[in-house]
Amino acid sequence: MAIKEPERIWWKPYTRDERLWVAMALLWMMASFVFMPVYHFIGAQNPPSETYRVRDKEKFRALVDGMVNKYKVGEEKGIPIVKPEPGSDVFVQASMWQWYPILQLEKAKTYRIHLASMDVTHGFSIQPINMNFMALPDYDYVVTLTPTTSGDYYIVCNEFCGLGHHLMVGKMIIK
Amino acid sequence: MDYRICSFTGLKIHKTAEDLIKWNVVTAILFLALGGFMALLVALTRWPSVHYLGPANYYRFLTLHGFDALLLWILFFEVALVHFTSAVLLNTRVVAPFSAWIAYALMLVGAVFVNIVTFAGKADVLFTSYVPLKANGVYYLGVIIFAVGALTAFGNFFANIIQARRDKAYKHTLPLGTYGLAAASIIGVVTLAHGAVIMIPVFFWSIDLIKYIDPATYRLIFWGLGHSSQQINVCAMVAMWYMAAAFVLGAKPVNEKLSRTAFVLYILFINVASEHHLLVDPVLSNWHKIVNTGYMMHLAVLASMIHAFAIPASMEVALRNKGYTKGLFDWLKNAPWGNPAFSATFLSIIGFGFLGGITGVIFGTEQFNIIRHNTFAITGHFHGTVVSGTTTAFMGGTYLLIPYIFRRELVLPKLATIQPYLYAIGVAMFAISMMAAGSYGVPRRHWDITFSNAIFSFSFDPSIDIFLSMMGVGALLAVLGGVIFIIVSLGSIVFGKKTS
Amino acid sequence: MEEEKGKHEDKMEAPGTFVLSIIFLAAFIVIWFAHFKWLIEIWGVR
Repeated sequence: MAIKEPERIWWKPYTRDERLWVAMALLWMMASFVFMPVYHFIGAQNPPSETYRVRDKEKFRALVDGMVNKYKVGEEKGIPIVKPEPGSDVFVQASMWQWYPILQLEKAKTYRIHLASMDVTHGFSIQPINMNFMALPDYDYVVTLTPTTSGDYYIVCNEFCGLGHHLMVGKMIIK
Repeated sequence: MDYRICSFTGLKIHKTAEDLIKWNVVTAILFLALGGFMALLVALTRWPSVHYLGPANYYRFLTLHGFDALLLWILFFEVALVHFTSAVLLNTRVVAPFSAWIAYALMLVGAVFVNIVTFAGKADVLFTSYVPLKANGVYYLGVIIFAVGALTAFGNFFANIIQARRDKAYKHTLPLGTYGLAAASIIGVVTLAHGAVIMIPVFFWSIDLIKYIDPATYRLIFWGLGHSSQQINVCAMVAMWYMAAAFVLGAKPVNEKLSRTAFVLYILFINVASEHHLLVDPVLSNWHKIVNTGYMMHLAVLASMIHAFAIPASMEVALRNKGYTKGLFDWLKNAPWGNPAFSATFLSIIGFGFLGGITGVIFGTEQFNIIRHNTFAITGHFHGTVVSGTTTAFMGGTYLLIPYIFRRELVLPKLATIQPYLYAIGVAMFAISMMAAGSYGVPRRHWDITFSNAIFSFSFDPSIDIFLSMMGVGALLAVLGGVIFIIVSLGSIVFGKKTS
Repeated sequence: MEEEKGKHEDKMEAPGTFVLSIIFLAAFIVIWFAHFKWLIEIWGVR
């Protein structure tokens, strides 16, 4: 019993159901594990890992502003809409409680989206496609994104970032 | 030495161990009541048609809900199990009663600090307190004091079993229940070491003695504390399952070797696996994530799958020996479903596996994490593990400790019989609804998913309204089950008929 | 005696639990593949 010391010899051979169950559980766990590295090579949806340190937040801000000046095509609710070149580096700045700027991207083209926060940790959640990444302060996280559907998408903040957390919504237009 | 012999179990119970267990269990239940009350407020807020609290109170009570229900209720109960499995099961004594009481006092002081400072609105940082969100220094100090207390309590466990060995209270190996708590205590020490590494600097940062804490490093080490401490819970819960099967049915583990190996897998593989919280974070490379979360996590999950087979199997063998041998499921039909200690244990095994376990492995898979990270589905997952699993198991444990340790009969036994079902159904309902809403992208920790005052208005798929309303109804059921548990357990402890 | 021991080791001790466990594994695999379907529907990301 689990509440008493077992008898002297407790390392008994496994019965048939035990052996079968452990073997099946182990096999399934191995399949679930092997999926990760394999899909890393053959899959189109993998978590990004490219990262740069942001030592000076003003420099990142300058990169954002430079991109906005160069590629601005409009404005919505006071936030500029930028249409960067496919394949280029795109900078998105998270701060309490705004995503800046609005991106207009082309379907089936690839962009390198640099995410960084200017203050606390934010969550970059593209809805309704439901893709989620973290935006940390002092780090530039490069999400290499290839949108495959068009329409208006919204960036919801999904990491608590202070009292206005639920007001933090951004936009992304895929054409 | 002051001992008595338990008339139900024949165990020799040391008076100090008995007192320590009583105080820790009662404190645990009181914090469950507090955490459960916060749960009600928070759930009513996330039920769109009710939307009860304002934003400031929502984030504040959510912080408190996490702290009281996840940390305080569970850890105080685990400390009770530390003394139960080391001193009581081994028929021996608590070696250093003074330090055991100090541990209790430190945990209580830390708990009170955190509750007061959070309630006063000085620590609206949620359970994870990701830097650079900053709380008042008292918050971190409270966490540190609580952790020192918990560390002392786990130290007591080792002192007790070492002394028990010297006293020849056991000859060769520990009973499996004690073995499980030994695994829990080892993980506890490692976990709390992580806590010290990160919480002490953060405390100094909060009082401006340290200038900078790296946010990514904080997240990495915080989860070394935050996730590994869930593994303490899993170990203690599994040990509770084994013990409940033994106490209620006289069940013997089908294979001690298998069960013990599984506990060792927990100790070896869980700690680095806590990096699955950082799968869509910057900094860590893909290979790092794959090895730590994939390889390590899957071996720990294998351990859970072993236990989840071994425990019902031991129940089946015990019931078959009682003569319920017809067909495949005659034993299951004739199991003591009216005994809340048994039903809570069985429901906990099912809930932990089906609700928490499956989703845990899937959401912790590197690629799948992209579509689930920080959504409501994660909240659904860990309510499957921690509430449906651990809390329900510990409720079952309380029903056992009331006659054995408090020496009282259960008051309102009819209510006690339906309590685990009510609770488990409620929890299952809200956990599944959270997962469904999360799969449509509904974020966790969010006051207003209609974005009514936000700059852009965005609406989720309309079906989430159904899921979130179901979540609300499930939460109400679970709260009702929780209230019955608190009435029955505290009522029995205070007013229950004394057993001879 | 020897034969009896061999027989003992090779029988199912808990067939009911074994069936329940298989149901669990089947549910696990079905839910896993559901997530796989949802995964390949999202945008490309690396």
